[in-house]
Amino acid sequence: MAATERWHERTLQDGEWLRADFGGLTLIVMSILEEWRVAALYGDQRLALENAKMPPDNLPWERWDRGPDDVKLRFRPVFPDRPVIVRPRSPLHLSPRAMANFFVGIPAFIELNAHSEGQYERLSSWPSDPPSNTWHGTPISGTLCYSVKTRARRQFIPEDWQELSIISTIEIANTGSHTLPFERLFFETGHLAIFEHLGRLWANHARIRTGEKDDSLSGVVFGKRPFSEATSAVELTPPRLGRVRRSMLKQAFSTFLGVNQPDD
Amino acid sequence: MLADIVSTFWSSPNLQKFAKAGIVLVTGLPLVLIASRIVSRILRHRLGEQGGDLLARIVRYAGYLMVLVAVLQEFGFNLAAVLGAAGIAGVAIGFASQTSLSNLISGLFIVGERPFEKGDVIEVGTFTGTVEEIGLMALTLRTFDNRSVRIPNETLVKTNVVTVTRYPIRRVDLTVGVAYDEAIDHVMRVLRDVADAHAAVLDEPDTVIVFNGFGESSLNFMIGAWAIKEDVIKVKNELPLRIKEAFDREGIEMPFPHRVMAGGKAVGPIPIVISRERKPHGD
Repeated sequence: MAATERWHERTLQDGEWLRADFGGLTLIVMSILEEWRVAALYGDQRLALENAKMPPDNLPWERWDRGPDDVKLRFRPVFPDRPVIVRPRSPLHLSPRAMANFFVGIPAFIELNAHSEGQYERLSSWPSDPPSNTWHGTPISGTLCYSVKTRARRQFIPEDWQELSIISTIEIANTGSHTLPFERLFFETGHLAIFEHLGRLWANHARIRTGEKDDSLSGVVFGKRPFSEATSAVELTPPRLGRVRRSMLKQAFSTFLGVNQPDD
Repeated sequence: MLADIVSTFWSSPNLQKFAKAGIVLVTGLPLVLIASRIVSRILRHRLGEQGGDLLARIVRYAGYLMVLVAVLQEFGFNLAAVLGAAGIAGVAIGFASQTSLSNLISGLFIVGERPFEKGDVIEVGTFTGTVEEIGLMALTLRTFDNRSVRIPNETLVKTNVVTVTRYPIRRVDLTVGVAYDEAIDHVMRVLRDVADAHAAVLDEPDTVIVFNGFGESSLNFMIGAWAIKEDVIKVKNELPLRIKEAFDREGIEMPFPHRVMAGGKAVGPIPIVISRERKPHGD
């Protein structure tokens, strides 16, 4: 199975331009005067392009230098550049010794790579749907994260998902003897890959095991492929920080979780 | 030839003194510099860049003084006499340098306590600015309108210092008043929506919306929105604009103070008395 056309390599000769739509984001790329010019447009900003033969000068352009023979570029979906705090819209409680699978969606960022002196260089990335900021930690110390509210569905219904949400499946097992609230999930995405299946974006499946105590170290296991029906998906983007045996997926139910990679 | 030089050297006490002083200088000065660098490197982790540098500077000056004393001793300089004289002069010098010593000691306290670092934004009295340098005697502050302010270390120890950029996130508090006709719940909901919709306002910690009570001519609300310290100015500038836009959209009135002037004896009309015109004397 091959990736859909929007992720294919494209060619842009000097003086040409293209428009690429990614959900709420429209990217205008122009190749001119040995420069790549890129404008990221959201919402009403896109009205400026209607009936336009050439993109107007007053777009919020960003410019990158390129060689005279550089014509190739490609887009690819990437995870946000910060950790993501995933919160269910309505609180969920997980019974003791229960195991549940949740589907959560994380808005993809779109990365543009273009040739510079014959080599692909990353130019920048833009959110397909601008996420809001949130803080993970205390007012004295912590980490700046993106915030995502999710329905945390128990089954996959294609119509529920925005076009460029990365569908991430998380299986949570409560091995303790107390009911646990699923309030937020600290999602460090640096070691997750992005796949495509039937035009949808998927991440590898994750399994989290919570312990008896809130602060106990529990195992989080990443599968190498997405969940069940998307197992035959094609990989578009490898993990940003590489595939590792131990990672930073942590803080489910306010617990600190260890991570390991299965040998399968 | 070489034998002559050697014999001249051994027979001349002055030459020997110069040689010894030279050895003290050649070995002493690099040792002082090395010691100062080691102190700086070790203390930087504990006291920060500025604190480490400051103590390293103290070590360097003390080292230079010791090398100087050692060199002078080689030339028969009587240190005891100097110290004796210094004891007498010390009283006078002590009185004269009281402020300087106080600043120096205060500087050491600041370095140890680390209430702020180089690059932090602090408020001292009427001055707000970025810490440029923590010196032996004084701190140099660069204000936002690009003036350099020298604040003696003693002042910093004695007065209240607010470190604005100490913590990574800050709450921006705004006060808004609406007309008495407005529904309090509705206003609070609109304020929360405005805060939630602003990209620089953090989802967590949650924005605080407080009904502050009944004002003279308005219902008053406090909105406390959290932002990372780099975004504080942006939120301070933009949030009131977004609130005004949302209030206009929702038809929420932001009143200005109304005054009703009541009449009474005290504010009655000023009586005007018309007197007969005096004719000028003369023809």
